[in-house]
Amino acid sequence: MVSGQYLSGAGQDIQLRVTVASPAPTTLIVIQNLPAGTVIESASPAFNQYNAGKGEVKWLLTHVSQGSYNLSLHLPLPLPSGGISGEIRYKDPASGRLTNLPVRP
Amino acid sequence: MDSDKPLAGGIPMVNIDGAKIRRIREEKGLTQLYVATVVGVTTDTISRWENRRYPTIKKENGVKLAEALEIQMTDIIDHGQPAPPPEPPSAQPSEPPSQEEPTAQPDTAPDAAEPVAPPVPESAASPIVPTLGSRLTPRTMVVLFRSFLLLALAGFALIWWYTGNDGEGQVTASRILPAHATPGIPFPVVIEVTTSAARPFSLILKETLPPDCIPAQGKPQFVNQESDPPALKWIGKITGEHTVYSYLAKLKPETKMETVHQITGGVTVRSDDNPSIPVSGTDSLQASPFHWADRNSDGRIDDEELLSVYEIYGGIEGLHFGKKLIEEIWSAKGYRWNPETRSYEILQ
Repeated sequence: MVSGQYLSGAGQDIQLRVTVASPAPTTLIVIQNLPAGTVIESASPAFNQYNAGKGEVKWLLTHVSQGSYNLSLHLPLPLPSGGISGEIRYKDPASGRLTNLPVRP
Repeated sequence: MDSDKPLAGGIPMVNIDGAKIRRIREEKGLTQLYVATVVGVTTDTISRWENRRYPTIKKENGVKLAEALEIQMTDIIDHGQPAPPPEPPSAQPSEPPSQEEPTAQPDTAPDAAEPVAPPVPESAASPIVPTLGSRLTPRTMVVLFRSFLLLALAGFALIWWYTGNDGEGQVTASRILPAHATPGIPFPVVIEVTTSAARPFSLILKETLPPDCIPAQGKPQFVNQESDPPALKWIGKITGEHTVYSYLAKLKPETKMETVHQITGGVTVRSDDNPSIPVSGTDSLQASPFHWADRNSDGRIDDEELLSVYEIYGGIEGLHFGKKLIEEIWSAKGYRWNPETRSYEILQ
């Protein structure tokens, strides 16, 4: 019902596409792990949390419905390939359990 | 007859049609218990109103009665029509009529204007018929006809009751209440009513809060609010498998920390004679310096706690449960309660 795919996983622009199918969870937390200390120039949409020490960016997506959501970061310095990973967290609508879905470039 | 008149004390009163009330109630499959709960009186009172012809009641109760019967109040008011023909003695109430009620004429009183049926020759009919015919005045026949009609209606109502009473199916109600809340900070309560009903039906949901609790917003809005102890009441129509009732409440700011508070509730279904179906689920709440969304009381709101909040309360449109503060705490390193300012300090 939820899947993630990197459109761009290296360089100055990091782009992650999250696709939601039915039954859709109401809320998603999308985590983007960057190398510790990475500087972010801009984000779209704006992130809700950034722990620069850990390199962890978090987006909170509420009122989620079926469709695709693109999340992107623009960095001042390019990242080498293989240096990032992502994770999508949500409550499974059927079981109510917390689901952690890893995403790799 | 005046149908809307104040008593000496200035309370507006109305005359209502008891028989009509009973008829409408039975036609709609409403129990006396349901109507009594909506109006806020006992079932004995409803029974008294129905059994008297034109009882005088408070206008306020008349409004609630009409609401319970899902009609306009004018539909049950006696507008001063002349007294209907008298009922057979068995249909009369046991208690003496009030001053407002019309005086019934005795059935046996002969009417000089009534024509007398001509005698029938014995050879032209059975031995019984002419005897009865000569005794039955048109007035008595009207009474007999009405009695027959009443019996037929009662039979129809019984058949409807037994064939159509499974409309509500099995009804259950479950409450989701945070385990703790900080005094003065609103917390949300959700009650989910589930049914296997095949068609829509009416119910009353009642929540009784602890004395130290102040009710706030309701979604849908509760229709009645009493004070001691605070009680919330919803009268609703269930149209689907799941219906959600929610409200916000807060513990009084002076409530002592660590004290435990109980919430009780029940559902009354309109055509169910059982007193009330208790609301199951969580029913106790502890006064705590930790935010209600911080379920493990560790001084922060983690991802799972945030997702739980949105899962349970996020879909309830217009319920202002403090989303902004919760997101602020989630985005930060943590929080702590400041008893001086009676607010949370966000730790960045």
